[in-house]
Amino acid sequence: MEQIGSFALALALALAAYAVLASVIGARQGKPLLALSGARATIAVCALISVAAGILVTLLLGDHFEVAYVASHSNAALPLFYKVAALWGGQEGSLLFWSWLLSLYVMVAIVTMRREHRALAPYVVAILAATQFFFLLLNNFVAHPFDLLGVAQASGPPQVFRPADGRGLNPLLQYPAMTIHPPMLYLGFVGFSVPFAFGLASLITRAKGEKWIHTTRRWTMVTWGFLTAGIVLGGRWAYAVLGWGGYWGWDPVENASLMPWLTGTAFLHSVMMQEKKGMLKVWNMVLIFLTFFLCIFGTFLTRSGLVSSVHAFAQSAIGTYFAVFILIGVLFTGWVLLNCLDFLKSENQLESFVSRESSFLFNNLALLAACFAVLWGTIFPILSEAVQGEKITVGAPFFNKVNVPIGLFLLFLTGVGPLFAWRRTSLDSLRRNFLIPTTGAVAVACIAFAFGARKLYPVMTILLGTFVLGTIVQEFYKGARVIRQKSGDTWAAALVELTRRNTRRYGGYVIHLGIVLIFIGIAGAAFNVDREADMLPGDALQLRGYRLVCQRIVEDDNPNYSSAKAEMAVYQDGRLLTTLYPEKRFYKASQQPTSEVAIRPRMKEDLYVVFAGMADDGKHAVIHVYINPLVNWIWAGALITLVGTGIALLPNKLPERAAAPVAARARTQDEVPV
Amino acid sequence: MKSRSKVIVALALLLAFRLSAANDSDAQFKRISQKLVCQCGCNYLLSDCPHLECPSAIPMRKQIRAYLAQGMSEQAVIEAMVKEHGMVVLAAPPAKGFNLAAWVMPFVALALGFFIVRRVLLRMRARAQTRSEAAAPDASLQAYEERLAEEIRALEEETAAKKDSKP
Repeated sequence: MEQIGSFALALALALAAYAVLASVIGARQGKPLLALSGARATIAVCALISVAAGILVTLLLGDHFEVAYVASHSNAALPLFYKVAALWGGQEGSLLFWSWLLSLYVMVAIVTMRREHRALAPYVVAILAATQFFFLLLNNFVAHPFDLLGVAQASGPPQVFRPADGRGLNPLLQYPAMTIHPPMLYLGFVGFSVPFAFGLASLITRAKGEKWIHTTRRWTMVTWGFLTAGIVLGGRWAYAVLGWGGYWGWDPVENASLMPWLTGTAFLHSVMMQEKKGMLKVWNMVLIFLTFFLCIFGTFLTRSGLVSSVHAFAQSAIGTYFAVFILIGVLFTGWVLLNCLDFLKSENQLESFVSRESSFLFNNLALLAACFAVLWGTIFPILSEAVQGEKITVGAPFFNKVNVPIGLFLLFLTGVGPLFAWRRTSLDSLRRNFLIPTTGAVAVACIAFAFGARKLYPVMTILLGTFVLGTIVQEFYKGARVIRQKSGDTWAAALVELTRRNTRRYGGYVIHLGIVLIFIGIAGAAFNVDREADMLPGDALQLRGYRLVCQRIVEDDNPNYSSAKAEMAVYQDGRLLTTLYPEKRFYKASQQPTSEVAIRPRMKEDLYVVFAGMADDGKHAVIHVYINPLVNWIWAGALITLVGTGIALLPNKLPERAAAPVAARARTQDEVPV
Repeated sequence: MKSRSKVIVALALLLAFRLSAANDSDAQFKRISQKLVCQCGCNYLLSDCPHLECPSAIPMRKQIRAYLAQGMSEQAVIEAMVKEHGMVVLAAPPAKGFNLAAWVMPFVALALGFFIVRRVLLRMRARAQTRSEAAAPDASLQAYEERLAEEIRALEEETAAKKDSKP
């Protein structure tokens, strides 16, 4: 079966190469059938990679430990669900998974857009197929997933060796959110290939019109949604599984996922200027290309071993291949872009600094500055070692100090930007739109200050967050009021009708609402408290209003792991609130200990309890308790952001009066004698 | 009795002092461990390393507590940890020498970006002003424009009249 998988990957590689050549030659020599055969070849590539991925999953499910990948990332006692997830648990499998997702994206892009973008299609196919070719090169020659374990013989070829059991999946990955975190991230990373291909193809063909940018924007929105989900799921996993009470450690691999998210967000904003005003064409191209290459750079960081990270795969030579791909890609796209500057020239003009155009530019400035700060902090240790010969660390204190002020500026723009008019915003409009939200924000910030919030950044976040919330609520209220006045609908119906008439705008407001909640949730971390104690059954620990009593320690054993669970009764004002069961596990196959966090989640705060281990005497359980205010606002905000993304992608509802002139014209045409 | 109550008060004060000192020590430990990084390869702050039985974080934390118990200041403890583990143990590079570039560059980039955006905005506004000046009505052209509008109106009326007169 592994031989079929290997053959499928080899054939896919050959067909990907054919797709590139056939599409380019077909387009340049005016041979549409040849170009069409190139497009169809990518569908065959998708089928072949699907076969290879399916075979690897089958091998994992069937415990074929003679396959090196299966032996390294699975074991017999692993639950079925996690055996499937092992597909993306290691280097070779995750690269095959990447190739598979890319092939699916390519197929969808070609099938849905070939008619609409006839001139662009061959070059879009060629660029996507070239990307696919690169990853298939890795699948075939550098990170082959179907290698067998062998034992060298005195004479003749090595004999295939089948161990009795595998090493198992990393216990940290045996968690539901963790199983969908990599697929979501990959759907995000891989998806940016499509806008990249469209952008580059439009330059190569000097495509007239802006239809391609509408398509590219929608693709970017979908991809951005997946990347957002992937990042948040990773944070949720870190919070619920790792047991340090936090969700973002500014790890290099975490940063690698954030950077394309920042540039993708910048693109989604500045592209509106191109759609509405034909402005910033060169800049938008730069953003699309930068986002794609940051995705590749991110996966290069994860796999090259250049930076140390909990997320990194084992160090290998694969980094060199990514570096070469990025270099060739950047040089080629840079050359194409420079050659097309005349074609991209646009009539950039605006009447006032207080306008939506300028707010978008400052929005891009803030996002790109944050991206640069993250990139700089991530690569600085490598730079420092090269220059000074000394290893240093650039960790959370650096990233927080630099990015928090930029984040607050962005939050401010989130409130003012949508309410600035195109070209010029009058003083009267400013007063009308900002008076109530500003007043409300100042009032709430004063209340927070009176209740003990004294740190500058959290108070600023509350002030600006309330301001933005106020502007969003105001926009929905104004629009829904007009609809109610005309139709007599209820508020709920009016809000739905308002949103359906302009899904992009109001979906965008919902996304902004989600982002504000995330900011406020993050600000809550400034008020975290924690306490650690060595406890015997019967001992109590007090933290703020909570009293935790260790009732007993229960031990358990199963084929996958052995565990010790602490039964912690939680009291508040003498009343039993709940019982929590933080756990310590030892996974047998991988010989790795982990902790299972126990959380009492509430919108106001989480009570978060970790069984950190046994004390030196072997009798006392080390219990670490955290109170994390507002942390659930982050997850709620993320969910709202994704809902807003879905809304923004829906087509607008056509207003009823738009249909009337069409019907009138049809009647008139029927009456006029021919 | 009086001396007994004095002893009790003295003991209570001593206990309160020791408790507050312990609290101070805990706060110091937390501050120090948030400035250092665990060396097991996790990249987490020493206060946050989640690995059970971590071979790096556990001895490092014990070492810090031992230094604090000896009466060392926070700065002295940090310097001692750097001496033992190297600069890599600091969670952020010190702002001196080449490492100053780590702190300065993001703000340099932001300032440069702000300058570029400002220039772009000024150029866009100048272009708009030039365009609006160019589009200002030229008196000599106005007469021709009025004549043109009149002729178009007359043509439309003639066309409409011809349509109405057709059977």
